[in-house]
Amino acid sequence: MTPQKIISAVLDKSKADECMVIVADYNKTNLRWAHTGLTTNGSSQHTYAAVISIINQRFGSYVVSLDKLTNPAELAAKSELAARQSPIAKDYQPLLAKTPDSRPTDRLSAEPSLAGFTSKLGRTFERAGRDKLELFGYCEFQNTRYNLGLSTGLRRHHEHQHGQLELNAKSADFRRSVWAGSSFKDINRADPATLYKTLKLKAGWSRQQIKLKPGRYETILESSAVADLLLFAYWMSSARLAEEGHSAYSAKAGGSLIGQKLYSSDISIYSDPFKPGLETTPFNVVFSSGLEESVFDNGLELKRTDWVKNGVQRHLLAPRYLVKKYGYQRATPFIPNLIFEHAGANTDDMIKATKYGLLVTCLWYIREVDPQSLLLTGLTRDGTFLIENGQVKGAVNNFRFNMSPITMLKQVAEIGHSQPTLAREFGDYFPLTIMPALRVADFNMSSVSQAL
Amino acid sequence: MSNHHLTDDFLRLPYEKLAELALTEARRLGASYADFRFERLRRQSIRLRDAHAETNIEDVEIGYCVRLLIDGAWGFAGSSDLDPAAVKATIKRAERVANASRPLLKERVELAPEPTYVDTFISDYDINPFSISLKDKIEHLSTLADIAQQADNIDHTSFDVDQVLENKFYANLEGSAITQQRIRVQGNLQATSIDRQTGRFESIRTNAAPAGRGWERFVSQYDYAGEISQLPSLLAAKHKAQSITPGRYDLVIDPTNLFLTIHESVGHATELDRALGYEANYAGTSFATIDNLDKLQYGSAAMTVTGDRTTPNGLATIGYDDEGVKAQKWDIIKIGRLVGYQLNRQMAPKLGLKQSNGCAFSDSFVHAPLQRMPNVSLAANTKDVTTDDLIAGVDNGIYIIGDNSWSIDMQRYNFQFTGQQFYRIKNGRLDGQLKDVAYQANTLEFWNSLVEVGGMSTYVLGGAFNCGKGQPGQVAPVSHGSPAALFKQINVLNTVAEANAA
Repeated sequence: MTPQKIISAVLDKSKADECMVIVADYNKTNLRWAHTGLTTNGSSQHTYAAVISIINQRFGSYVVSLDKLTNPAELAAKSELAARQSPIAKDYQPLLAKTPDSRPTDRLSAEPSLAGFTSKLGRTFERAGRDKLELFGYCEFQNTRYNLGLSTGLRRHHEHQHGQLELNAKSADFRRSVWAGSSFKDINRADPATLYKTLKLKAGWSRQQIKLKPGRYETILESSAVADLLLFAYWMSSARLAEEGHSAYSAKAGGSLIGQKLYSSDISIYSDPFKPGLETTPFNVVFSSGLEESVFDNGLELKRTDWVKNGVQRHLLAPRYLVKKYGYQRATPFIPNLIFEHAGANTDDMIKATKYGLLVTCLWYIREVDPQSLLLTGLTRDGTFLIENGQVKGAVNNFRFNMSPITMLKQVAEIGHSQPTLAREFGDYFPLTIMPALRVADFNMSSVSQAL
Repeated sequence: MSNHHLTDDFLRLPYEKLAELALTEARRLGASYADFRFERLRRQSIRLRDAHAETNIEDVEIGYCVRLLIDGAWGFAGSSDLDPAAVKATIKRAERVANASRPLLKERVELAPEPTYVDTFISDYDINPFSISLKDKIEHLSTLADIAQQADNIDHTSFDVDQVLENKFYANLEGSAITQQRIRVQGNLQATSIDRQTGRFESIRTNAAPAGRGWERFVSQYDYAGEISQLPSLLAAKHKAQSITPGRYDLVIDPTNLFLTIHESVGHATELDRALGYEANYAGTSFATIDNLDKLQYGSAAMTVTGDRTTPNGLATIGYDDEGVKAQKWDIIKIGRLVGYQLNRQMAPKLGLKQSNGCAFSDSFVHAPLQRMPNVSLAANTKDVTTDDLIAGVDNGIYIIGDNSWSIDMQRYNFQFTGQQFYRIKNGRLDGQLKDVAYQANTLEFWNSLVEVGGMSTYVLGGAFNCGKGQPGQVAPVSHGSPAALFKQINVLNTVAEANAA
């Protein structure tokens, strides 16, 4: 059965006041390597449906893997049972009405062939061998499709592709270790040779190894590091928690920080499902309500949302039911890409303009320490360097940092040139980011990590 | 082993028929090894905010995967399509992966041998959570949440509950055919209080560990009502508590906090795949490399740690792992010395061992199994040392209860943890709450500063529901038993000072 037929069959069998059906499918291919040899690789496909029934303003959500034996009436009945047993939803809103939609596709795009990529990777393996570097890394490519149908007649369909590539080069004794990553929409754009050029340069910088003490350093965070910190800040930007008074986005006098100028006018951060190269599903897909999302917003058209514009916090994550309560202009749901555009200097020029400071390639194990300030802790990893008088002097020991991304944005001294980037830690779950490098004054490197 | 049966809705699924098809086809392709794994994962999440159920979702994931070795190369493919024709297509995909991988292999995959088993394992629990109606669950959880919500000083509560029923059928070309069923649950209530004058807010939550138990965890096995009733007064005191002065302190760490430090600084550090570099791009490596085996003084003589896939009600407890290896228990740290690793069938021969100790696990039919953590536990003192006894030995220190923020570096050296409750210890006695505390240390220095562990009266089985590892990312449930323990002169930070601009 095609997704459209499943949606129609479940809606036909539904006895609820209102019903929503989401049919999702994906196929994914992944390769992994260590010590310059492939290890665990795989290919998988999954098709599943979420049925959300509404009865007397209560909802029940039932999600199940689909195959040809799936009984549409049983799916409808299970979600109806859950709805009847739930309390009235505080986020209840009338479902969205029917609007014109594009023609759906019957079949998900086929998974790509690995042959082209593995031959490129093989050539990069050979180069690394000649350079006496060992390679570790990962590449995946995924086709994902969502089909959505509501009992109001609303239908939405979307398919998107994305892939990511990570490359980590180490000397045989692991004392030198550098990383680079990228994301792409077409597996043919996976380019290990280009990433390797960066790694070779940085592995060369790492021949000189310098010990530094903890402290507050002027620090150039490369775009991957900026992405990880700002993704955390994005995920934590719940309008509800802010308005209730228990969030870093709460104003001391009550309410949220929406409308307040927090940062330099050069700082603007937004999400846009139609951003070329970062396209993502342009409508809301929600399996169950939570702090920042509501099932009643399923199918809601997503559009560019300015989270920070010219230094002013313009929006926080807000489903429809909060719009009236807090006097917002519109709902601003989560969109799975994040963009911080700026036409500043490239990283080489930022290095040249540095008298004394650190260059940080990427970050790792980032966790919240204090929700009041959004203090995060984490580590520098695979490429932390000392810059003196405009030149990279060598690799330094890794550090544990303690820093709030909100404080970081307030302490930005220079914004670099934005580029598509892959967040080292969170890129697996959120690969679509455009970020600049940032020069940050007094970045708090709290202690030394011995990790290589 | 429990007295329960495999659930009827799992028994109705065609896993044996699909396994026969898959393994016959794998044999025909010339696979030297092949396994078939069928998974049915039933999960339900309920989230209450301010004692009102706002989130409920039930998710049933069903599918199978085939892993095969052809000419020394792994091929893996998974699918949710249960049609017999789809099984053949899935195996073809696995074969294509193996063929694409082979030119870039550095070494042929060799597996440690394992006897064959035909068996059924069902975990120990009293009440299958999926036998209780959603309505009854919501009513019970709302009643518990209300205990805190009704207190004058509590502004908000959240109560997050997850329940999992996991069924696996594993069969391989060697002749094993193993059916397993496990149940696990987790749930904690957090209460938040806001000072409207200053805008400062504080939170505190219950310390109920996730466990390999059923719905009884919420109604009788754990005293949620008792613990929740204490949260308002604890939170009031936390608001007024003195902010910690950074420095070095002796720490008495409750097992509700120490389990997580064990997880991060011992559990992950003694995974052999990490020590050998297989996780170097993602989860990281380990300082505990194999040249350190039987030599490294990991901690003081008070430290003995075991790996165990048989711990009663443990989250990593199982009959057989995802490579058909029988569950077992072994030493990892003995009287402070590193003596063992966690292994799967591919890793064991790399250490010169003839058998795996059963640590293969995959979280889904879409993922190949990796070496994942067993229950890793710190042994209690054979003497009846109480938490009060440990506190009595401290002149100037902190007693830490409950886990909160955690982070550790990619080689498992430098870590930082916070907690739920902190008490000053002055001259051997507790002297009121502290706040804004984080402890930061190097793994080897920390465990070598261990002075004494508490006895069995202090022992608690903690754990994590969703430990992450691997690419593509996988989650695994794991428990950690721990007594209370005393550590000397650990570096303590003030989190507010850390956040302030220079």
